[in-house]
Amino acid sequence: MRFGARRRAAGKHAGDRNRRGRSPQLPPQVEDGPAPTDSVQPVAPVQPVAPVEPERDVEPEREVESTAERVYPPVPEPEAQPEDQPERQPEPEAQQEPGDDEPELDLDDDSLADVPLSDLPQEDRRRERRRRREVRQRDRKEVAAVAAAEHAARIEDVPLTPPSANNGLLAVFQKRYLLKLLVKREVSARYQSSFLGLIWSYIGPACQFFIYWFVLGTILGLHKSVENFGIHIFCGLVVVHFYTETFAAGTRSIVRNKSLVAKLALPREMFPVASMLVSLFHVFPQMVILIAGCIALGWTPDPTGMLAMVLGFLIAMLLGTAGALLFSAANVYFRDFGNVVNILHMFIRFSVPMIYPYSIVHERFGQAAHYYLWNPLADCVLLIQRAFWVGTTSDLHQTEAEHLPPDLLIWGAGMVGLGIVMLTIGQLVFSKLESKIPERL
Amino acid sequence: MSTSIVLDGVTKTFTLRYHRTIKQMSVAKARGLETSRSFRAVDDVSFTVEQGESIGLMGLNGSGKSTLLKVISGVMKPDEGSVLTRGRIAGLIATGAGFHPQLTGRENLYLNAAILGMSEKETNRKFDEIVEFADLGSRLDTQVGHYSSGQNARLGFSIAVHVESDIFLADEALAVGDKPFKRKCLAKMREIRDSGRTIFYVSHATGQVRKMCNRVLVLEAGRLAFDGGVEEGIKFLHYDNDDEEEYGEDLEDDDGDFDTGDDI
Repeated sequence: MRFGARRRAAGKHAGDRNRRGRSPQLPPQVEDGPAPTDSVQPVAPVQPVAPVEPERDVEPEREVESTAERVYPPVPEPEAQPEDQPERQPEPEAQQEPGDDEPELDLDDDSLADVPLSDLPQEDRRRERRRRREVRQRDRKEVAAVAAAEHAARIEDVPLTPPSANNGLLAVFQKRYLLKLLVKREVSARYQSSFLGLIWSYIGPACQFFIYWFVLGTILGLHKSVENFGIHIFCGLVVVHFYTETFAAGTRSIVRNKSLVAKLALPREMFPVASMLVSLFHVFPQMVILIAGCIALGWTPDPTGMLAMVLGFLIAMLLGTAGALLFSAANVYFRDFGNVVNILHMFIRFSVPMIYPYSIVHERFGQAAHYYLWNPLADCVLLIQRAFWVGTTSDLHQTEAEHLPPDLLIWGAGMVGLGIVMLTIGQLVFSKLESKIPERL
Repeated sequence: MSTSIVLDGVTKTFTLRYHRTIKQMSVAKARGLETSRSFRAVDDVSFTVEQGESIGLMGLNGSGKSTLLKVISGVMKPDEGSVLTRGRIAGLIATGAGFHPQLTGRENLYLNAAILGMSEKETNRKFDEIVEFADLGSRLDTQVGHYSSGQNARLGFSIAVHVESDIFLADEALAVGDKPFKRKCLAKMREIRDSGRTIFYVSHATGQVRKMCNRVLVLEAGRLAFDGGVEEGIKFLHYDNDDEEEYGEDLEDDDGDFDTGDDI
């Protein structure tokens, strides 16, 4: 009955509010469709749409759903009003519409279900349409009731928790699937509409490599004092590039993903970690080039070297993520931190034994040289050089003794420990700053 | 029946900063101007929502509705008081957030579903349903950057509405999309409501609130000013005046079905 009442209340479509005062028998809708065939009949209030929409009426419900999306008919189900919803416009006359006196409908009588409505005589058509509509309504209610019962049973055991519960980095690794997709998005989106695509990831490092190789190796003559100076540089470049990329992209990550961070309750550590993984992804092809070069120069992998490589990358990953965490949160408060990162990178490039061998440092500083090793990235580069460059030289042991510090692996292990400490600090600071991030973005 | 959302004395304070750079700050300090001021966007709000209720959250612009919604969804932590929720929260809070313009609709669908908390299995299971609801046809495999704003919104909405949730939040979500789509959306939301999930709906559209909700909360300058029935809530806000009649009445289309109930 409510439908009839509501329908009459709808005056706006006619653009004429006087229509609301007219007789309830008149079908309200004339302008929204073809002239209704049964428009002269007194319309039962529960009767569906006045204009004939054959597709909707002749087909069984399920198929309507699929065709529906193209034609955009109004949602087929009638409104189901929950009892507790307040009556908006009580219109008593609506209860006495002539249509309500129609004989009882047998909802389960589906003898006419497959007959197109247009083939039926008018009286039957009306009844059948009403029957189908009520069946739909009943089905829908049943489905909803089942869903509600299921839901009620499911929700029983769920505890009340604060919605923003967040376990920092742990939560990130619990959401590995999302992390994977975020990384994939970054990787595939970065060069999506560029012609050279992924190659750009190598053009930068390659240019840097050739500049250093030529200026330092050829002009300053380091080729003579350092065997395979190219490999020496490239070892450093791979890991330094990885670190700086992680740090820089990680620092920008939260501000860049503003729309997500400010609106959804994701673990926000997700974004710096994803940046680290994206940078790691770009390391692989560089490693392939490096290893190919090394093999060409007669390098064979050795266990100590491989351990050194793992330690080296571990240091870079831990420190990169720690820095990214710290700076990404700080960058939200003051964008100045983005600039600080650029300055840091300048220092990093020259504070590691990449474009000069460690032996020079040792020569210049003597005993004080071991303070140089307190720079975790210096150890990191030396470890990678131990893994690859040393193996390409003619006398492995002599190179190691001459150009690498003693106890390099111990330094490396220590720096991994430092990395873990830094990451913990990063996480603690991040958690502290995080709660204000959405409002400061 | 179990409780679904419990808020107890929730307060959220924002700091307004008038000056950001060091130069502006020192000038302001020297002149004795204030450099920042704090205000309470949500002020000591407490209420309890039972499982399956549908709440309409209303209030004028700037009264703290969206902030309250963010507190409930867990994006923001309250400065004082506590929020407890039961079950998974989803909703139309950031439809289409995180869409990458250079990825295709399909890729973005998977990504966005994951962002909203769906697992890979769940996404695969619902993929067809989502695509059908969004009705993008062949554009699904083209870049999202080339979508119209309506198509973008449809995809976002479609994903959000298919996330399995126990609490469904909606923040004036239906401001986009054409009328048939809005109608489809409202039907979907009604389905969500009827399946016993809690709905928290922020809207200025009295028509939609009347249709969707059975309880109204009204915020006024961050405080909970009204908590009760739908009609009373709308009256409380004076949204039921004469102008309203003209719009508000026009809720039902002549097809007897559900209308969008937009006020504007």
